[in-house]
Amino acid sequence: MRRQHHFGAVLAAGALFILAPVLAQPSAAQAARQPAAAKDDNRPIPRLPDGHVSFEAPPGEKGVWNRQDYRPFIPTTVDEAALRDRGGNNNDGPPGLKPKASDVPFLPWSRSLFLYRQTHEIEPYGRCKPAGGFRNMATPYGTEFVQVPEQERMYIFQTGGPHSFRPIYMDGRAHPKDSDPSYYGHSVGRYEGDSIIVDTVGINERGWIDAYGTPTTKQLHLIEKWTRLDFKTLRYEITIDDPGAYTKPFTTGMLMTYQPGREMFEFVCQDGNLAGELMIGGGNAKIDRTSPIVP
Amino acid sequence: MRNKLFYVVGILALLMTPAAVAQQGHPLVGVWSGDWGPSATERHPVVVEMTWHDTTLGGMINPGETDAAQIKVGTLNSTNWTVHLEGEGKDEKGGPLKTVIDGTVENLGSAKRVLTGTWMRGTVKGTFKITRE
Repeated sequence: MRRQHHFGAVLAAGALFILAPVLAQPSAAQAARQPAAAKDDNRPIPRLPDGHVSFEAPPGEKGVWNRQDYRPFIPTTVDEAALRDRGGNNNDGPPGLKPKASDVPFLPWSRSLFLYRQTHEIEPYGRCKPAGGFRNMATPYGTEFVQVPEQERMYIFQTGGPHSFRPIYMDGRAHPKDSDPSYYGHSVGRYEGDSIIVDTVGINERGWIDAYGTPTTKQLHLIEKWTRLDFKTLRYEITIDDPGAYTKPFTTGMLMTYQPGREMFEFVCQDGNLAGELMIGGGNAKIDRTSPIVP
Repeated sequence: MRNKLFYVVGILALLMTPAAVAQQGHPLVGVWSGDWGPSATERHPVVVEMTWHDTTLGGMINPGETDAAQIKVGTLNSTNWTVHLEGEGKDEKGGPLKTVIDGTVENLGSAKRVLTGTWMRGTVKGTFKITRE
C-alpha cells in the first residue's frame, strides 16, 4: 500500500515535470489580451482630468513602472563597482544621467563607506526596511503611482521590498519644522510641465537611499524629478544635497519603463531574512548575524 | 559602589530603551558602551556618545557621570577606520581631566560595530572595547 502511494507520487511528479513548460505558458485568452496593451506604446502621454501629466495606468487599464539600470554612479574602478556588477554591467543609460563615481563629491568618510558597501551589501531594504529616494523607485516587480488631484497629493507604491507606500503632498504646504525623521521623510511636490518636482527632508539614518549604499546623514535634502518622456518611458532624476556626507549637491537618475497589463500583487517581505547569499551577496562572511535584532 | 550604581543604571536604561537599530549614516554616530582599564583585572564601565554635526565629530564621554567629558577633538581616518578622540572634563575631586582615546572600528557593516584601542585617562593608560548599542 505504502509502495503504491510512493509510485503514485513519483508518477504525479513526473507528469508535472513534463507539463510544467506547457502550464507556464499564458493561455490563448491571456496572450490575446496582453499584446493589445503593448501595441499602444506610442499613444500620447496620459493626462489627469485637470490636464496635468499622469503617471498612472490609463483608466480601465493596469500597468507598473519598472526600473532600468539603477546604479547611482558609473564605476571608474573595480573598487567602485558592486560585487554583483563585477561580472559585467555596462548599461550606463543616457549620457549625463548618471555621474562617474570618481566625480561624486564624497567627503572622505562617505567615499570609504561607499567603497566598503560595494563588497558588503547588507542593505536594510533587503531586510524589509523602507527606503526613500532612489530606492523608493528602484524596487523589484514594479512601482505604481496614484495621483489624487482632489486630495492634492500623490502616492508611490512599491511592489517589492517593504511593500509600502510614500505620500507626496501637492497642496503647497511647507515641510514641518520639527518632524521626527522617518524612512521616507516628508515630501512636498508640484507639477512643472510634464514633470513632477518633489522636495524631501527628514529622512532618518536607518536606511540606504539606493541599492548601492550611497551614504547619507540626517542633513539629507532630496530633490526628485519625474518626467514622462513618452507613454512608456519615465526619466527619474534625483539631486542629493547632504553637507554631512558630500562637499556639494550632485544629481543622478535612471530611466523607467512602463509595463502594461501588470499590477501590484501581494508581496510579503520576511523581516529577519538571513538568506545572506541570496539577499546581500557573498562578501559578508565575517559579519555578526547573531543579534536577534535585524539591523 | 560607584561601579555597581553605574551597572544598575546601565541595565535599567537598556531595559527601558527600544531595541537598537542600525546606524546607516556616519558610522560613528550613536551610543557606544563597554569598558576600559589599565589591566585585564581592573576594568571600568564607560559610555561614549558620538555625534556628527555639519562635518564635526563630537559628543560626550560618560554623559551624566561626574567625570563626564565633552569631546573637544574628534577625527576619523576612514582609510583605515581609526578614530582619535580627546575629551575634557573633571575628575572626582573637581580637577581637570583629559581623556584621549585612539581606536579602530571593527565589523563596520554590523549594527553592533566595535571600537577597540587605547584609552588614556589623565596619566593612566589602558585599553578599551566599546560596542555600538
